Amino acid sequence: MRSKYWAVGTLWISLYAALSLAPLAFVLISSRASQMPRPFWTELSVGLGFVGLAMMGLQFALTARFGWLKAPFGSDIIYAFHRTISMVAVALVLAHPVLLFATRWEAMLQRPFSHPWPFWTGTFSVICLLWIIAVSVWRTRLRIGYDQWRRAHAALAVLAVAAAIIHVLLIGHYLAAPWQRAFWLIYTLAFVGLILYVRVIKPMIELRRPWEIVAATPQRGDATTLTLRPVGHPGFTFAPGQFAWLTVGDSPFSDREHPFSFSGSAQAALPTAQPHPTIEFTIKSLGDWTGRIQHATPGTRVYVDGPFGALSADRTPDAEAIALFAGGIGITPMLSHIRTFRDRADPRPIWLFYAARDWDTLTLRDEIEHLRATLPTLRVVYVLSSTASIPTAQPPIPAVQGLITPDLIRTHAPDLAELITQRRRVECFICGPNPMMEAVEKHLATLGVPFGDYHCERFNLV
Amino acid sequence: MRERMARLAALALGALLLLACALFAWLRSSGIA
Repeated sequence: MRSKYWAVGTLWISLYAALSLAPLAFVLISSRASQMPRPFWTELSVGLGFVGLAMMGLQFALTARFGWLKAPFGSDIIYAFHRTISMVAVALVLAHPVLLFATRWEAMLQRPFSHPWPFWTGTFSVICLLWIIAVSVWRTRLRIGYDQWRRAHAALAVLAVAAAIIHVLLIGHYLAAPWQRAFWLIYTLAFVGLILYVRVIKPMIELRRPWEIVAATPQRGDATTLTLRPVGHPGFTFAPGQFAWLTVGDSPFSDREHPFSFSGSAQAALPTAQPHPTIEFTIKSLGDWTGRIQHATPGTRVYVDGPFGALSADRTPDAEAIALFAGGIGITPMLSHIRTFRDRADPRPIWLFYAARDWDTLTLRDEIEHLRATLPTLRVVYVLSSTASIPTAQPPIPAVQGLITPDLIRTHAPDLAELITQRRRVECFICGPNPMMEAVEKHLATLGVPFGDYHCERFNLV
Repeated sequence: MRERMARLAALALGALLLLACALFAWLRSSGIA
C-alpha cells in the first residue's frame, strides 16, 4: 500500500518536471532550422520565462483538488509544495526580464517602448505574481479575510497566466513552427479547462448533490457539530481522518468554502446506513465564518466537496495498533477514527492523547468519555494545561497536567511504548496546532517510531 | 517534517529546472540544437 503511494508520488513529481520542461523540449525539437542561435544569456532568459510560465499554469492543476493527485501525499503536502514551487516559478519568471535587461540594457534604454504591448503584458503578469505572493505571505498582517484572499488569489493567478500567454504570443519568438504553436495552444486550452473545471463544472456537480443540516449541536469549547444528510443522492463514503470543503447556506459558485475534518464514523456515511447516511463535522468558532456556524439551523443547504486527505489509518491496514495525538479541535479526525473502529468492531488497540487547555472546555469530551467507558480497545490520556476542574472519580479520570512528551507516553501508556520498542507496527496520527504537531513528531522519533509511521496534516493553508 | 520535505522537494525540483534551462540556453546559443 505504502510503496504504491511512493510510486505514484514519484510519478507525479516526474510528470510535473516533464510538463514544466516541455516548452523547452518543443523549442529544441522544432527550432534547429528555423531560428538563428542567440547569445547564451538571452536564450537562458527565454528558457526561464517559458519554464516559469508552464509552472505557473501547473499550479491550477495542483490546487484543483483532484483526489487522485492528492492521494499519495495528503492535501497539506500538496499546498506546501504549491507554496514553495510557486515561489520558484516566480523567481524564474522574474529572472527572465532581469537577464534580458542586464544583457541589452543600452538598447532597451535607447528604445524603451519599441515593443510596448509585449512589454506591458509581461510587466502586468509579473506585477500580478508579486501581488499574489505579497497577499499570501502577509495575509494576516494585512488583515485580509480568508474568503477575500481566496477570490483575489484566484483572480490574480488567472490574470497573471493569461497576460503571460499573451506576452508569449505577441513576442512570437519560437512560435514559427506549427509544433510550437500547437504546443502553446494545447497548454492554454488545458489551463482554461482547469479553470472551467474548478469554477464552473465542479460547483455544478456540487449543486446537483446538495446536503442539508439535520442537527446543529453545540459542543464544549465554543464548537458546533453539524450533522448532514444527502438530499436526492446516496452521498459518498470517506475514510476516517479525512476532510471536506463545506459551503454552508451559500451557492457552491460563491467560493465561500472552508475545509473541516469529518468527526463522525465513516460507517455512518455508507449508503446502507439507517435511517439514512449521515456525515458529521465539529467546527470550532475561530472567525467570522466559523462563528456563524453556531447559528446554523436544521434544513440549511450545505454543499460538500470531498473527501480529501491522507491522515487515515485506512491507508495502513497492516498496522497492529494506532496512536492518536490531538490538540484542541484537532480531536475531530481522531474521533472519526475511534467511532469508525468501534462501528467496524475493529479489535486493534487505540491510544488517544488529547491535549487541551482544561477539562471544562474539552471539545467532544462527553462523547470521548462515553467511548472510553464502552470501548475496551480504547485508552485515553488527557493532557491538559490545567487539571484544576477535573472531578474526582473512581477509577480516576486519566488526565495529566503538562505537555505530550516521551516520558509522559512511557508513564501513561507503557504498553504503547513497549510495542514501539518491540518495533511492532504502530501507526501514529497527529492533528493540532503546528508547534504541538512538530513537538509530537520529534517525540515519536525519539521513542523510536519509524519516520513513515507517524502522520500529520496541517490545515492552516495560508 | 513532511511539510519540510515537500518544501525541499520543491526547491530541488526548482534547481533541476534551472539547470535544464541553462542546458537549453547552452544548446541553443552554441548552435547544437
